[in-house]
Amino acid sequence: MAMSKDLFLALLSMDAYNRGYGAGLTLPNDSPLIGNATVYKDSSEILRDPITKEPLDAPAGFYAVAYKTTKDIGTKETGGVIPEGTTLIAA
Amino acid sequence: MRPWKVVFLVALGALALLLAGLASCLIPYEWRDALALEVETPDGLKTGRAVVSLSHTVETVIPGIPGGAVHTSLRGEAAVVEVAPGKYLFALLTGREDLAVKAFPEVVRNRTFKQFARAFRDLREKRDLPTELIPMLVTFRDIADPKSVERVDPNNLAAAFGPGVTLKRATLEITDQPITTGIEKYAPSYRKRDDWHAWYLSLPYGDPRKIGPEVFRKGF
Repeated sequence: MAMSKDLFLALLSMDAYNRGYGAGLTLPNDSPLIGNATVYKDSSEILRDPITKEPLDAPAGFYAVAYKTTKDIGTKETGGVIPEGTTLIAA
Repeated sequence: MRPWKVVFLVALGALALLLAGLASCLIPYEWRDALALEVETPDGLKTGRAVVSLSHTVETVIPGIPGGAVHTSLRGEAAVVEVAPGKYLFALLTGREDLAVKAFPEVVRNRTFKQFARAFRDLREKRDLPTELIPMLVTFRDIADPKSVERVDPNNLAAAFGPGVTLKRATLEITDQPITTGIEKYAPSYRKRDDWHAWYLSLPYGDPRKIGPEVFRKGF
């Protein structure tokens, strides 16, 4: 069954809520895969203090994660297609 | 009863509820636990132990009504064992926030958060950790270089430290002892290591070597 892109985006936003620091759920081996997308980068990796190298997102109460699609998501009939290789960001 | 008395009593009740709500938000529930590692080596038993503090603040929407959020903050350091001169085994802070909850499931079972938080605060008990609950273990090929990090399999310490080295025991103890400090004497320094951040960003998401200073020391 083809999943609509909107449903997939909703799943990614829930995944973002439970990933990174303070995650409520721990996935086996902290898998970077979620359906036809893979986690690319998150704010804890990128936003680091230039001197101490401590993450800057958690103290600010911020978290964002970027996903890259590994296949086309959705169909024309279910509301449109997100092409393979698209970067999606949830915060 | 006169109307102004009714208004006064209702206002007093509302104020009491508000203060109770604020108090439950502001007063944290805290307990401390100690993670200890015992490593068998050809030179004898080596041990390491670290006490951390876990502070939980409950955000209640309406006092007395279920619902809300719990914010957890950890203050402490990773446990470290000097397995051989200059060769260290670290049990990182990753996942340390809920280790006690997993190691003592009967304390949590059938209790609300506030009930089991009070139970942990009063508990004084030590328990062996099964392998799957042992926090992530790492070592460094070169302790001066955070890029030389290697994950250590708790079932195969010999792969990282040589023959005859095994993890004999890992325990978690609920305690009221002081928080352990001093990891900076053993852990590599990440300060001003721009080469480290570039290397770190080059690793794929989920790579076990993707660790930073926050898994050695937190909350100070």
